[in-house]
Amino acid sequence: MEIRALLSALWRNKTGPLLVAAQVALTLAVVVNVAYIVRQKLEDANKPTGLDLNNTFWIATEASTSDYNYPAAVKADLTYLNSLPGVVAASTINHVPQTFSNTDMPFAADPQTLLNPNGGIFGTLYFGTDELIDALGLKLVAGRNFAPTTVRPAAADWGAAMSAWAPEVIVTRVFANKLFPKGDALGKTVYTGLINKSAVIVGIVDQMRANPLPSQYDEFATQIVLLPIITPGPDGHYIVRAKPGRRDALMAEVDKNFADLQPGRFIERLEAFDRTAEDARQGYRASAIILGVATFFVVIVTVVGIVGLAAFSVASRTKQLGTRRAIGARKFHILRYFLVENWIITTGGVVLGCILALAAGVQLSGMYQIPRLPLYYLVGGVLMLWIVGLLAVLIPALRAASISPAVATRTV
Amino acid sequence: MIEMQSVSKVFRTDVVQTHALRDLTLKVEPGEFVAITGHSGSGKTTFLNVAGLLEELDGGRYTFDGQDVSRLTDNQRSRIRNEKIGFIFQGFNLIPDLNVYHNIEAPLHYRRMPGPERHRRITAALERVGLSTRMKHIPAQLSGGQQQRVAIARAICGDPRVILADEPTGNLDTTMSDQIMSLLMEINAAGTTILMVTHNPELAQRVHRQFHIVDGRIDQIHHFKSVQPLQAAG
Amino acid sequence: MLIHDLNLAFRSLRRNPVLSALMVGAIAVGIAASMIAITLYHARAGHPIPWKEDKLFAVTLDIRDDEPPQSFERHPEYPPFQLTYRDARALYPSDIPLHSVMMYRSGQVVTPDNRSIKPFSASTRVTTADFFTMFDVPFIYGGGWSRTEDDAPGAVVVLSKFMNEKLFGGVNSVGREVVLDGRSYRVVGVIAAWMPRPKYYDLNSWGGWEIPEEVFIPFGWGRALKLPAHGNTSCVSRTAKIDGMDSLYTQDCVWLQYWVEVRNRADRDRYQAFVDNYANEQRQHGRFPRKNNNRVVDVPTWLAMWDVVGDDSRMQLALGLVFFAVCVLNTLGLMLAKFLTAAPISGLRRALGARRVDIIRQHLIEVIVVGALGGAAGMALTFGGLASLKVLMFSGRLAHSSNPDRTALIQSFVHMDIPVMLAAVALSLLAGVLAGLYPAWRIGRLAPATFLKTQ
Repeated sequence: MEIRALLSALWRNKTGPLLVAAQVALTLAVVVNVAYIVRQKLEDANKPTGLDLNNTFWIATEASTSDYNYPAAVKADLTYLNSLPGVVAASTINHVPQTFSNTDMPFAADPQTLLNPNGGIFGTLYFGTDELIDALGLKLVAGRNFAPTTVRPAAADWGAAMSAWAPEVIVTRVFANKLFPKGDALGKTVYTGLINKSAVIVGIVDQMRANPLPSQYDEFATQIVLLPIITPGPDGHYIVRAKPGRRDALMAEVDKNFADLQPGRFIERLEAFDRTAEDARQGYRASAIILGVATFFVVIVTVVGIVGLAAFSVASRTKQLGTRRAIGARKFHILRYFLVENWIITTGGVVLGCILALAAGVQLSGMYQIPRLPLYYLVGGVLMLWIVGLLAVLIPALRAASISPAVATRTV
Repeated sequence: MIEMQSVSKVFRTDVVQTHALRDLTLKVEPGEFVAITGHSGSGKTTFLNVAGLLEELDGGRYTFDGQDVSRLTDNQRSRIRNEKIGFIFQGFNLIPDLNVYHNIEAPLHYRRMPGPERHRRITAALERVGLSTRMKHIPAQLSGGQQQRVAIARAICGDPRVILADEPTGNLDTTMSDQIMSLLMEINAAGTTILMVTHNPELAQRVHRQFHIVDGRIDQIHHFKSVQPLQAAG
Repeated sequence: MLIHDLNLAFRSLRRNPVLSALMVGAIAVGIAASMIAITLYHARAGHPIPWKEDKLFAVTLDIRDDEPPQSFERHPEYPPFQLTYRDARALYPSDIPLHSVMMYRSGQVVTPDNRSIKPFSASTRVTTADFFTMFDVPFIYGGGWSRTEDDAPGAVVVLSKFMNEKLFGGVNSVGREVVLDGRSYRVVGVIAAWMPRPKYYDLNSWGGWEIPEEVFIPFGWGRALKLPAHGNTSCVSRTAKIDGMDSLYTQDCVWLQYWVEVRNRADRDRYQAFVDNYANEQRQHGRFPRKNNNRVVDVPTWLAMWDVVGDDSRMQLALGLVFFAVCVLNTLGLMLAKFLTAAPISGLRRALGARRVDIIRQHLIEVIVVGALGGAAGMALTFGGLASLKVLMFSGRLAHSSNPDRTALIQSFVHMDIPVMLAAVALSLLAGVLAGLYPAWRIGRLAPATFLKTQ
């Protein structure tokens, strides 16, 4: 293979090849980094929630009069909801999980730790009845559920609710292990900062994710504490889990009848839980799609560039190619020449592209707080561009190979 | 060396059918230097293409160096062209982006010849044509005559049995033409058969025989000398 | 001459339709990608109140305990963005600023007079009086309330335009009554359509990409009625103890937005000194354990601290520009190939008397035509792309929005305003020139004889 001759011919005519190499370089940098970011985003958006989103819905009520009897309403509401055919469980809740609002506080096994700087571990709080675990679809892996007698009735306001606190809590496994690294959380007392309260861990659930998307506080999105407290009113949230297939009918029924069960209130929102979770992720998923689609088009443009250069190269070298055939080159030789020439150009672009990709990767990992680009993305990107480059040049190269040797003797 | 019997070649388009060669018969002996003459459109270029295995023939029989080459595959023809035929073109047909060395080297690559052997042959060929000092130049830096000499070096570096030359002096002035003719005659004297298409009657008479093609077939044959080492004119 | 050149240009493009389509297409796609990215970025990067840049400042105090930053903090060097009630109260009497405001967002239930409209929840801004003058809030009817009402407030309310339309059909409702959370308030003002982008005075919800509140009531009601804070409440001191809304007024928890309007930057510096002095004085009582890091910042700095633009917009912008670069390089290559292939015609023209500059000009015109066609196609693609993005990114939020103002706000995220459109025109011309300059120069440089040889 006449590599030296090929390289010196390439060098003498370098403008076209340099343009293609530059496109390949930029494309590689884009493809590699976007693939990584998209993968991260989709991974983040698809993290398991631990919740039974498809069978659950939630209701938000608001008082329309100042004499709304919230505690009585809650009692009646829960009885009504839990008695509906097709309902697995219904509970009050303080914030709807998978939205962007929640409450978190520092917890610790040893109350002394809470007095130190950065002492304690943050946990996200969810208040509910003894039906809360079933309403959310959480799996108890150790201990027991709340006893119905421990459920604190609706207090007058948040202050009173905090002061009353609750004797028992249920935590997620992750949180239990962080608080008690020896794995013996069950039955132990856990202390809460800011309100100086304590409670006993009576149960551990498998997993739950509070926030729909990573944020600054993602560290404690899975560190969750459940408390048997009915949230103070006058605004209420209920979470209702249905048997498979029954949810939509139940939602329709609740929409019709629920508000009027109690005077002085209205339904502010009634929504399917998976809809809530999806809406929260919409921006993230959309962003991933946008980046992916744009990158796809960048690759297409570069492919067009490669094909264009190759086609031009064949068309402007027709006489030369005929002559080569005349002096004895086989079709295979011509094909190979173009494939190798193209591969050299692509590889030149790829080498530059690797540098750009790594530089961009460093920038992005600083911006997005994600770990550095793993090298196998780079390898994948290089392979992809080699293959794409090869496919792009194939047809012009085959055309070149089919140029007749008789072209050499033509005088036009 | 070259024996054609009733060779025909037809070009078909949607509209018209052209018989470029019809029932062409000739025989060229090894060591001969023959000229092919004819007006434009007579079929000389087609004849050269067929003779040089650049194109397939449609009818008749073609024996080259004792082998029937009438119906070979593309790869087989390429091989013969590479190893047994050397081409010289009116427009030199050098590859513009390569230097002299790489231009001459080109056909040897298709033969899978090891590097040192290639180098030996190229330097020998360059010396033969008197251009050893121009190894690194590119065609654009050479005169017409020099370019044609490079082309000749390319043609002979593979030790071909036959050289096919298509108007080799067509783009050159008188002085350069003489140089090229002398060179060709030297090569022929060393034993290489040469077929030269030309429409210069003066040149056509300096060879062993001249075939005149009219309407795709041999019309006349002139004998000038018998097959012996020729003397350069003048 | 220009008509002739344009004629030649179009004929040249027609001669090789595939190649022309590819060139125009490459520019179109590059323009579309970069313009979409620029539109999205521009929608988020605007300055909502440029005429008050030297006058309006957000106040932040670094009241945090002296502890090392948590691992998850992205900018531990920034102080908390909000104030405690205690500190807000302490700063409020200063006479250095022309206006000061402390405020927070809450929510109340509106019970309309019209029985046929069911009660609904509305967003409420609980604020001191200066809010309306400071932020240049336009009124259609009436006005705000005065400073004297901050602590012993009358039952007065200011409505948003949409709220006024919903409750009163849009007429001048000053003097009429509105029932909020079962309590009656008298309307003293109705504000005109007002949509600061972003909602810089309170960036807690949706990163500031939310419409202003629908109801405004005096600050004193917040405490009197224990109206909950809808925003971000963060107890920055380990020793804080929370039990209900009341404790927010006494403990070291930050939850209030605090802004000042001063005469000029010199007064801003004076105010900064005042704030720092206050912190120094408080340090002696055991608060403000850290060194002074209290920042009185103008709106652009504030927006940067909150990173309103966001990483995604920046990344999209970078990608859009890279895309543009790839497309220009692509077109450059195609253009060069085309010009070199068509070189014999130029050679002929030169032989017939055209000067080098004529050839270059003719080719540049052709290049500009390609750029213009690509730009036009690119604009069409951009509009289509933005429309698709609106559905892709915001269909959820749009579906939930019952408020036409909010819908308009979301539409504005994908809206190309005039400056962006002008940028598009400039960009397509730039693309054409960048792609065509080198090829045109190359062609002009070649000697005519080069083309006229038969080889």
